Amino acid sequence: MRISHTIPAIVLLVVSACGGEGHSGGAARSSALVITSPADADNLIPALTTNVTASQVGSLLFEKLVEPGDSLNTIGDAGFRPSLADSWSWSPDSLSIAFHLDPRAHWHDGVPLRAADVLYSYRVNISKDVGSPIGPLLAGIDSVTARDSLTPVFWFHARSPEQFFNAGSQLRVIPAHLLQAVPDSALKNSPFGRKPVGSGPYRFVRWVSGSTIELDADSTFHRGRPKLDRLIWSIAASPDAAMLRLYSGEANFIEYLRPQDVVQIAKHPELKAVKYPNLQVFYMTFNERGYGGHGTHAIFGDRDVRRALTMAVDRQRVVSTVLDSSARVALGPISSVISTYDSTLPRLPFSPDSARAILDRRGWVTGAEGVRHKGAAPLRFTILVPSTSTVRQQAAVLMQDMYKQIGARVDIERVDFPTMGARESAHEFDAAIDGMALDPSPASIRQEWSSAAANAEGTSNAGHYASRQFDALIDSAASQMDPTRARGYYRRAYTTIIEDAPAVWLYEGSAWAGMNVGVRPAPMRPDAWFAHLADWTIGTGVVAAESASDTVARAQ
Amino acid sequence: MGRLLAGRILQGLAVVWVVATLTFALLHSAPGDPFSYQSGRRIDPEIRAHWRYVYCLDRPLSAQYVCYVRSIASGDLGYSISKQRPVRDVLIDYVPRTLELMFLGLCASFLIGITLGVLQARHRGTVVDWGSRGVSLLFYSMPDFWLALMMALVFAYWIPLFPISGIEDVVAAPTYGWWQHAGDHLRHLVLPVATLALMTTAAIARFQRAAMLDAIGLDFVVTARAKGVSEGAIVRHHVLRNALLPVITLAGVTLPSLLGGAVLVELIFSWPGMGYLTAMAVESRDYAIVTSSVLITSVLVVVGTIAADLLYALADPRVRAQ
Amino acid sequence: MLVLRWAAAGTLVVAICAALWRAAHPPRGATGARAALARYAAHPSAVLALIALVSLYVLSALAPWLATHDPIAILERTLSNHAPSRAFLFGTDYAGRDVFSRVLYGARISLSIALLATSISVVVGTLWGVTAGFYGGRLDALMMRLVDAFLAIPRIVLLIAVGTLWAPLSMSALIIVLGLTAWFDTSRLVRAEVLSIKDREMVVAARALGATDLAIVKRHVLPNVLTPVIVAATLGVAGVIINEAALSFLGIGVPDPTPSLGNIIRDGTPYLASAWWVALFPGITLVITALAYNLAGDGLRDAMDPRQVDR
Repeated sequence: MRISHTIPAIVLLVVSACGGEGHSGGAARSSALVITSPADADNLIPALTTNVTASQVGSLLFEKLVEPGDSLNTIGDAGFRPSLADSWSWSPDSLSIAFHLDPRAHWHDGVPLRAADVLYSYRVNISKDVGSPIGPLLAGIDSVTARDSLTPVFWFHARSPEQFFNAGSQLRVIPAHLLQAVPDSALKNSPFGRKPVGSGPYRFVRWVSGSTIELDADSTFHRGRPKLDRLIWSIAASPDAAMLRLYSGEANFIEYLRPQDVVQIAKHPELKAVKYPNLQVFYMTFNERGYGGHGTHAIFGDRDVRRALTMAVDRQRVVSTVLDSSARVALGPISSVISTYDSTLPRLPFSPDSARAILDRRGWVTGAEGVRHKGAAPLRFTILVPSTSTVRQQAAVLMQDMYKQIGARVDIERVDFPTMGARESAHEFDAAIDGMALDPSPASIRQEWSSAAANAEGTSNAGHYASRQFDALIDSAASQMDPTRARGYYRRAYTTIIEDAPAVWLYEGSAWAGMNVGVRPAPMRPDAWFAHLADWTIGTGVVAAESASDTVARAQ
Repeated sequence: MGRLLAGRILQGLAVVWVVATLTFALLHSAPGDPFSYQSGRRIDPEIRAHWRYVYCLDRPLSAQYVCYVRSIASGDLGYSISKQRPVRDVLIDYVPRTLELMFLGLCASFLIGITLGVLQARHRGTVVDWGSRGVSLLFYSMPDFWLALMMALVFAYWIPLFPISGIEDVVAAPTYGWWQHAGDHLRHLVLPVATLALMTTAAIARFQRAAMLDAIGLDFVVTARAKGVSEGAIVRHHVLRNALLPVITLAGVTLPSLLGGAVLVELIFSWPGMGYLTAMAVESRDYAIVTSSVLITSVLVVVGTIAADLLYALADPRVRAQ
Repeated sequence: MLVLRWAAAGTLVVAICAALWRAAHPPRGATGARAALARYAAHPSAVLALIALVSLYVLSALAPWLATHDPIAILERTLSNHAPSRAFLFGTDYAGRDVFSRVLYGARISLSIALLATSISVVVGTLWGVTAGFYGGRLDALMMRLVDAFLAIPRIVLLIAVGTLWAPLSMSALIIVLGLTAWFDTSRLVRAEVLSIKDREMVVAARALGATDLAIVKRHVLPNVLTPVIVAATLGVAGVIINEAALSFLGIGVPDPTPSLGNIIRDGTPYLASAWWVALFPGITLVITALAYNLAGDGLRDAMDPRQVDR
């Protein structure tokens, strides 16, 4: 019976010895950013996916013609940086824009990138068979032609403020020579989606499903070799598992830290939390329709009541309690980072007295136990929050208390994310604390908050806010060529939506990323923190992406 | 033997058919309409058209059932909305990793379990017996996910011997030769396999001990003892061989519990196998994956049971004589 | 104040155990159930298991009375993930909630769910087994084939499928689902027992005298079936508890913020390395409960059927 003891012992010995050899050589010399992400990508062709990880990987494999500058201006062509296109020229009537491609741009298989690729990419993105998420955004483009092999030209029906942004900075160029033989409807199943060939600063190395996606720097990249040698997405089972990898040293970057994680990181000297601007806004939306989507909500259908309920909340206190003192209160469905932001926008003040006065005036009288009622209906509603977000839950708890002060009885219901999405789509809620990621383009607010959006699915407008005035103002703003006049219209539109109070606007504008202290990020663009990954560096001499075997070596 | 095999295969097919009927019933009785809405998200029209064709959604329920069984038999298990690929392709990536875990877990738990059972029978009544029975019962009573967490805590944090997640060292892997790769892979396997093995070993050891005790009382064993054969020789030659057979049949019971344990163990160790896939599908409400998981695990159990029966038939001379 | 309550609860536990002990050791010789109890009491491990179970059930039932804090209130952020201390016996979790109180309440919920679900499984399994065994023939073959098919699916996988398709599950739905996936072994046991007594003289005679099926079942079958069913049920509770914990761990069991031993572990998982107490204590509770049920089940089996005594 002794044999049965020695065999396992030998195996164990061999096994732990094997792993230890591996880390010498390559890994220590090349810098690798190991991004730990809780979601596996689905398809790496940009036109076919909205998946977060896939979009990140795709943005480093494939390029746009131009990139927005750090100011994120989308009106006209100010601030844009060359990417695939070196330069561009407008026709005198502004109905066409010619982009001049960098002749050095080439695909990772060696084939040069030419105008034909741009034409193909445009066609694919507007194809109904493909259903690209940016298809509708390209609607203003009439056609794309090639003046010569290095000059694609975009033609427009009419001038519009964001025509340049839509033409040059929405679509990512994919290789015609590898894909044009594939029919559009079959693109989804093409092996290219799992083994892509791009033109960007990083080339595809491998994708092990459920585990790893790796990209390596392309030393022949036309804009210069990236400083970071390797990018690895290490896919974990959940945000918690992702954090574990960061703590154990198996990863050195995570893009989003929850407040409790920020606290936890402080206890790890080899990690740091870095704040960066982003385009997320969080708010508590009121369902203006009745429960289930029919009729009008007994409480929230009344504009004055919504205003009162907004005035009852001390938003500054909520935000600084659940986040930190540097967090910003949102003014509306806008972020301080986008170009049309105006800090002087009117805001409904925090005034419980005014709130009470309005409620009295609208017929909500105080009744038993301090809860108001109008006729037989009590001023009682439920706030829906996702069970995974302590921030939103804490915000709800604080608001619940503030509402008690003005005579409203609030219950809090915690559900998981998918259920919350389903309930909002079906309008089966009273109020819900939601978040949305804005687009750099200020006109995108139309997609989320217009009356048309109220009827579409999966929009932020689950509460069914519909205002003709807001629609008209946004339309005027989006078609104004002159930036100053456009800003004026946007301001009026924002004022309208703030005054109508379809939601209590809570917080916006920044997020925390967790990373190893040696990681030196380039400025993180608010709409895409990964936009300048090629410029990141990892300090030598400091613990870089530590492989598991390094951990073992350290422990011995 | 051939008839035995054929009979078993037929039985197995019947079982799979019943399970397929069950998944059909589940899909159709679930609230909402899993074929057009999943968690508030509208499914691509193209996918819906594909489903309408494959699942005959426009026809009456009985026709839908026939369509469903037919598509499963031909290998079309639906479309995963979270992975944006046909379920079959996803399974091809993920199932082999679970099979790896299963195989090693089964081997380890049988090895340890049988050894333990034999030891306990040999030294029955002593501390060895009571002690090891107690310990194995302890492991048997643990929730698989908690054991996995504790293993991770002890062997990855407090005593950093093994990695706790993934199937490879993502940074160093591309620089590995095949030998290092194998070693790296094995290192990542240790914790998940150990966790699975610890849980099932107890069940096997319990069974093995009882089987051994029964065998020890058999006539020919008494005779051998009377003839002066040493105890050790008796155990090795006579008792073990007779007691081993029933344990093979345990495979049929151990497999479902191993596969079930794999779900949470894979999740905790981020081992991207079928269990991990199933656990992730809960979060994304991917009904196709979740129901396919029910089907595939039952197929695996059926196949495993048939293999065990075959093994038993081959090993037992009485059966072979038929 | 709280200490007094704990003392009172402890006294209650001791009292119950003492009463059971007295019942197992009557002054004169014991027969029938008392004899079984005496045989049970001969195993020290089984006795310990029973004490553990009594303690767990009494203490968790009295949770509202015995808990040190509110298990659900989200305290301040600064109190999150604190190590065990005098104020927080098992430490706090990421939301600043007292783990000790949550474990107490969680045990209450998990233990009650397990009992209820097992009751359902006992009823269903017995009915199924009796029907199959008693009527035999084609019906028996069909019913047992179905059981074979169900047994081929790993229970947690089936539970995940149901839990995902019907998410979110209400508490009663959860109990029903857990019960309806736990009856298979019971039905097999019951059927085997029924088959063995079907041909006994008493039953044959009763039939000849014209007794109805129902009467035969009630008078002859059920009493004999009781023993294996009780043993199977006791052993089965352990499985149900673990499955419910697994579902709660995955997020499709007992919903947040109601504590269940499984979802407390879930809360502690992201902070395993630094705040290991959150995952440790509910897990230990689960292990003790399952172990106790397993030992008690083994003890019961030995006590009720002397032929099967483990040598």
